[in-house]
Amino acid sequence: MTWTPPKTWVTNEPLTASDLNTHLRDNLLVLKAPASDQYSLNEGFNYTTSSTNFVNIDGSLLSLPITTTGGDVLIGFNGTFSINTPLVLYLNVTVDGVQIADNDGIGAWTLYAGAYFHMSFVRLKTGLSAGNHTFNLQWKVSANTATLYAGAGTSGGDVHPQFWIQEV
Amino acid sequence: MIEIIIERENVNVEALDFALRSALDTVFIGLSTLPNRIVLYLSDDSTQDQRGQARRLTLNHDPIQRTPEQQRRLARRQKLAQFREQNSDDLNPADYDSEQVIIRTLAQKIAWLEQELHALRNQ
Repeated sequence: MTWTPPKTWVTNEPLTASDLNTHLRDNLLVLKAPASDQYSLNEGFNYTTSSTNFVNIDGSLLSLPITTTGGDVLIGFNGTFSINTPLVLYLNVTVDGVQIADNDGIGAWTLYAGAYFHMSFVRLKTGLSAGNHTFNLQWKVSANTATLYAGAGTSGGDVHPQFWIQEV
Repeated sequence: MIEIIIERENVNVEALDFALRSALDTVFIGLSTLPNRIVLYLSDDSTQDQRGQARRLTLNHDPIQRTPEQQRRLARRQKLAQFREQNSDDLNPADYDSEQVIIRTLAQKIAWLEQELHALRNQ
């Protein structure tokens, strides 16, 4: 189902089934169920990284494809992290392989040892053309190693991050 | 950035990262662990020899070997556990009643701080 720019009716123009189906029914259906995708991690492992450049957290599970109708896309993530040695953790997202935020990405969180840190963000991606787009969640650290808990049964850390996108 | 994917499990991420940084310096950008595999990130200007060295270090990695930082953290935890066991009884300021005023005051302060620590640790 694709979005069709609504037509402008003129005086005395007959209402045809075809027009009503295309411009009212189909567009309402598109608005009711916009393009969206999400993945909630419930895996048998947790993720770690020591990369000081942005890299995909999981290029398969956290790679979300959608087909948009040309609207903006809302991007969201929430997840729980921990570290052993203090560091700064950075998150970013790529769309079709291009990072949506330059430099150190969408956000930075300073983490300390011995605690869980819950992080979340919501970001609006504008300027996307209609068509297929793939969103990837990325991370990097200032130094040392960070862990993202992915529902691996870790005692006290068996939590389930979610990465989602939705055209708005 | 060059990605080298190696299939293996059971990794001491900190130790492997430490070994790779020690061997490759700034050419090594970092690593990630995913199910059943490790991804090594090297800079584009890394040589074939360096990529091979990274691969060998990862394949030969012994997860039981700790980094100096991991050894230091372990020693600190062990020392803390030992001191907690040795000092399981609360300080009693009355034990210092025969001391000078300044010592009795210090004993009271330490007893107070000890209770504050108990409260912070939910004991």
